Amino acid sequence: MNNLKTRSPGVYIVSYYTGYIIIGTAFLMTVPLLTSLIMGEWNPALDFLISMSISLLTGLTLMTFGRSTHTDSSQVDWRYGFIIAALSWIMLMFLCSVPYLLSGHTNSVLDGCFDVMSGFTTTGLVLTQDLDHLSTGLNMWRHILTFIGGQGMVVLALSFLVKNTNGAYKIYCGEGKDIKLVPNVKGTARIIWKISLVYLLVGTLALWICGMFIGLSPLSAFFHGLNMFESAWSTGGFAPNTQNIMYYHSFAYENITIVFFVLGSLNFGLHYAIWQGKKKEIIKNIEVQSFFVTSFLACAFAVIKLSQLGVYTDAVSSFRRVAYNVLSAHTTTGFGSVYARQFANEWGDFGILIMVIVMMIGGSACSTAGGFKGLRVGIVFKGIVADIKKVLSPERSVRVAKYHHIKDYVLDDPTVKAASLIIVCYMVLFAITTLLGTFYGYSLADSAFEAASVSGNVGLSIGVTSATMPALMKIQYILAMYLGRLEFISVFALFGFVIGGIKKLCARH
Amino acid sequence: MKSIIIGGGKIGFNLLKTLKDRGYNVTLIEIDEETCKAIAEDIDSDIICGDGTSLDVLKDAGINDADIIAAVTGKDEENLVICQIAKKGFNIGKSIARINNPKNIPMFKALGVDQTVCSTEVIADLIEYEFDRDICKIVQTFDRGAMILVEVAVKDGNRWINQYVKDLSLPSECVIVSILRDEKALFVRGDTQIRNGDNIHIITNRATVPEIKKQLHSGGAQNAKQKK
Amino acid sequence: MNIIIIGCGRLGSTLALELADAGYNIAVIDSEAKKLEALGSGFNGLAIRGIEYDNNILKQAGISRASFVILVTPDDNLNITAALIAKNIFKVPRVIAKINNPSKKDVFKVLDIETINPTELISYMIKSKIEGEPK
Repeated sequence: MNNLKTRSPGVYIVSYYTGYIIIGTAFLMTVPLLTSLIMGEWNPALDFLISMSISLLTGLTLMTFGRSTHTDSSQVDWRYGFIIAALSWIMLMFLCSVPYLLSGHTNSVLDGCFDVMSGFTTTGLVLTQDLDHLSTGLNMWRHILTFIGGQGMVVLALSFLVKNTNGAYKIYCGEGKDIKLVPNVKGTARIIWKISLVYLLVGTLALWICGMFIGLSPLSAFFHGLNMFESAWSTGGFAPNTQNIMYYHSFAYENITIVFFVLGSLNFGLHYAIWQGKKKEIIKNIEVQSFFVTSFLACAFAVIKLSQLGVYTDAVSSFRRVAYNVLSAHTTTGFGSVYARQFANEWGDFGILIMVIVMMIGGSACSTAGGFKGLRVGIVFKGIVADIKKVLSPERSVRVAKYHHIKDYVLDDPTVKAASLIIVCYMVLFAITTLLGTFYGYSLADSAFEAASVSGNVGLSIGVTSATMPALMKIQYILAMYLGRLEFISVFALFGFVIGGIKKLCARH
Repeated sequence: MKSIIIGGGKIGFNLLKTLKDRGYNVTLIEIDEETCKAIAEDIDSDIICGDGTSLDVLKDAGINDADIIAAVTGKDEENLVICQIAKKGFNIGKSIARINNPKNIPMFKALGVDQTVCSTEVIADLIEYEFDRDICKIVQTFDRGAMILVEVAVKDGNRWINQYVKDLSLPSECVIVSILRDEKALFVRGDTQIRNGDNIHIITNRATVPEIKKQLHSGGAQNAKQKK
Repeated sequence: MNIIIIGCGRLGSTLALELADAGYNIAVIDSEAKKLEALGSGFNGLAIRGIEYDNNILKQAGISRASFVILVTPDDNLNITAALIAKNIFKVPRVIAKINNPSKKDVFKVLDIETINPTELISYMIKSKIEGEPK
């Protein structure tokens, strides 16, 4: 047994930290548990109790299994960091779907996992049946999943990490972020939470008040406010009701959500910089500039085209039905102010294509949003401009291009290459997902729209996502959401690790 | 009056020579033996070979009897250390440090270096003066930059021409000290008249300079560039 | 606790990695990018390339919130300069410098800078081994 430990310490390290992250997330189940108890929903409460026990047990087992390596304080490599992040997301997907399955609202394990992954990755597509009659506890759980997923389960676990931050930064990077708000990643994780919690208070309050204004009962308005805020801030797109944002029929409510989902799509580094008083950052930051340009252009084109088609001709409805959806798509939120099939029937190919493009571009890096991220779009764009400038200036002149993202960075070839490669990965993912959709008979526009929605973790649906979708498509969508959110590398690392492990096992026999 | 120079590079060497020619008692400290020998062949003065930041070497050079120390090595941090040791360890009256990076000037001054010389800044100011075609040239800064001596070149179209000094409406933080006319220095009284071609020397502070410039400009002058 | 380490040689980088793992907020400054690579891309802290005693670099490293500044560059003059700036201008509570050249010990003393003298420590340890004393 000792030989095994020294020859593949990785298994133990991965096991320990994955277990740690699972336990951290499992404790979160107390919130819906309490909610159900308060609301007198006994069955859901029991469901959560069972789920929590299963998760805690799993987490503890993993931690105990890996504990011996931990006390040897071996080094956590980059690959372990990525693998831990990727693996914990997969395991949590299964564990967190247990409440769904026990509630009877999902048709299969696959559907349950789909919804959980949709929540974690802040996508927002739903396969849960009969959403309007979900227990408050379960609804609470869905929205919490998306809130946590936005910040990151790893970030959650790291904020409580007491000792041995060895390798912590690497696990953090595995979840798709890499920004350091303060030198130590533990501090960074805590600040991300502080920012999110402050906005949680402000946002819930705002939506609660608005909810009461539009006629919801105080208790109901509170839950709706809390859930909708969690969904907006995390750019998730879940809502307590099937009609999504249309349930509220309120311009004010919609506008408040716009504020919060745009805020949520901004880089945490930007939030922190502004908290510290560096207000100029809003103007100088490459992502803000990029977002401003792309969202403005997209809204403008969409509004013009749709009014030309005669679908929405007055300003208010253009804003509420067109601009809202474009912004919702661009920030990868997924609140839909039109019904799914309206996209297909009313928007026409131009409108759908605009939506596809903005969904793929997505929000800012190191935020709750998905997509390529504005940072990469900005980098590649500036890279192209720099190349053109190089061609136009004398051979001997030396030019160094820079970009500003909290700090000033040099726009060197490795940076541009890295950004381009990830964009390529997203495009390939998008292509494969679209291909699969068309294979099953969905139209090109429909498949593309849905594929962009999953790859960019958006959550708007054109009607393809439903419980009757072919199982393979559900699996592909889960995979797409997962890859898109974690930005490929950690999932590839996990994949490689597993294959490597299998090879080793086969070789030994 | 004894002074010690630390650093036998181009500046140190020429400094030693100049001061010796003017008849002062100067000692040079230089770390490289070959350089020391070369200097000793050229100049007849006390030359100590050693690390200027070492207490023993400084003592050898007679720092206990020195009144002024000039640190002119190529590295700003070395010059700072020397000045600090001189002040805190030996209570030297005045320390002068050569500074290459103008950004270090305020820090060194804050740490107690009496006088800093930064050729970078001097040349930068000269270049800037040429670019701006500005009428105000900063000649010297006193007292950590709180006071500056400015030279104003009076040219055609200047509103001060033919005015008496007592009639000029100058800001309060501003004193005219002298006027350079035809290569002669005039001492300014209230009834001195300003003529075209004069160079006026004014003591003021940096904040008041833009106001003075405004006073000088006639409408439609070609330099609209504002100094930051 | 915020700690700034100036100088990323063998000592600096080892110190930085250990302290970062222990949970402190560490910022490392060195003028050579190559030296900073020793920290690895997974370093749980800030690695800043720049002139070690430059105002802006120090502010970027968070000197206004630092409790400790540790000077471990191979250049004694640099260590002294940065130590003086940290102590007297930024009023950092504890500033500790490594003495490279033992003959400079007095200089540090005169300027009132807290020091660690590796040469002395190591020779003491070797002497104890030779003389067979318990460490």
